[in-house]
Amino acid sequence: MIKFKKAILLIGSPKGKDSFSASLGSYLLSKVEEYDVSIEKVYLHSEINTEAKRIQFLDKIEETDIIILAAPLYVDTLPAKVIRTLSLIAENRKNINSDHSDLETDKSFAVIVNCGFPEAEQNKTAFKVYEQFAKEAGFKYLGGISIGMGGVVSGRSLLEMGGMSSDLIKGLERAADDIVRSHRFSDSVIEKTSKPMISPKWIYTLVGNFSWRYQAFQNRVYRKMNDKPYRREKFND
Amino acid sequence: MKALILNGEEVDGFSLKHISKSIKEELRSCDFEVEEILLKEKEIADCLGLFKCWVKTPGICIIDDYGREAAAKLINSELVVFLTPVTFGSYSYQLKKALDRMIPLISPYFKKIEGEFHHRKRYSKYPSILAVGVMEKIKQAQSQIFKELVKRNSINFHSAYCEAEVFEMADNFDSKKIKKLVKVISEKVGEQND
Ligand SMILES: Cc1cc2nc3c(=O)[nH]c(=O)nc-3n(C[C@H](O)[C@H](O)[C@H](O)COP(=O)(O)O)c2cc1C
Repeated sequence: MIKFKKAILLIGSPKGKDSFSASLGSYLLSKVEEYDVSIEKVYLHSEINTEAKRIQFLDKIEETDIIILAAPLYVDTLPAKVIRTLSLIAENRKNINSDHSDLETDKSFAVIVNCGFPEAEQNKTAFKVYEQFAKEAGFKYLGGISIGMGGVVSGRSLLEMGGMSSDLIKGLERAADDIVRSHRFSDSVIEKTSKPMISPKWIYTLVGNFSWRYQAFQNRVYRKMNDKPYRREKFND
Repeated sequence: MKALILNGEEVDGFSLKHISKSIKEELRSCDFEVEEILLKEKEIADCLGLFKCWVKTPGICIIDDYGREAAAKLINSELVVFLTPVTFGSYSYQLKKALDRMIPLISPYFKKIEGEFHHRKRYSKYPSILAVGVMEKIKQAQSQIFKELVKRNSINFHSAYCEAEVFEMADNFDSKKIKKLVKVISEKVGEQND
């Protein structure tokens, strides 16, 4: 029997709706909704900026059964804003439960992390951090979906990406099933979602390098791309 | 030689002043010129994630606040110290918002390093990293993650050396261990700069 009622998607990319995190999270959330779960989305960079909004946000978390976080990898770990949000949640949960020795674990927490390098494995330290958060906040950790090659997406929905995202889509559909059952992600979810979207990897980096040059060219700074604006004489040339 | 301490103490968290004092003392006795930035006192906005620092104003973040100055100071130091409360095994918000603003210091171009893709250097030299994590009570799992994270960062930031250790917050904080750690990395950085 499915006992969950409410799911919230936290989008941890400053790019908001244009982010790959939003595409991934929204697709997964739409699949979770098909199980008669009521859903909501929160953009962390714009929606918890004032004290009033933060209080409202923390109340929402307390009323939610499933928390899904979709965020990019920043400097090998969580973006600053995501750390701030999770600290707020964990602190609030501790305060609420201060009279109980253990936090209840009726809420579950799942993550999707995408990174710009081609290897999805580069997300692995971030998942360990998310698992520690879940432990401290008293959430049941359902696992993490790890995706590399984030640069290929740029704001498109997964369905617009064609064949490139077909495994990913299948994996996310299975993930929705695990989430509503409060099961840890099955091997098939991990296997499907971690398949590189482009193979071999060097094609991704080749296209990526070209894309940086092209954007710089369009911005008329192509010749400045290797500039060292903070170079100190004789130190860093 | 220059050392920059990024103090990531939280606005409503415990003070790291006494620890930073011990670090500074030892760094100075190892011939470093030391500067400390208490990040919570500076205006540093969150990274916008748009890579404009690579393709519009190469090498400089488009946000004009203290984040730019922090990046300029970091790249011109031989050693950077991350001093931070350990947060789920990672860095504090205060430290991380500054680190997220450091990507203008590297190049957008991809490069394979030990079988994995990373970004190329923009500058010829990058600081070594000493990471000092602080916890109210040591949790082994988080301590392990913290060290792993610092190692990963040292690859992406092209640091020649990195050391990381987690210390317990205590009233009678024993500075000997931390000074020893500072000495170890100072000697390595010193040899590299001879
Ligand atoms: C400040 C910053 C730091 C980043 N650090 C990493 C990193 O350490 N490893 C990595 O693979 N990608 C890194 N990236 C790339 C992003 O993870 C990648 O572009 C991702 O696809 C962005 O997802 P989003 O569209 O959901 O924001 C970084 C990007 C930014 C802006």
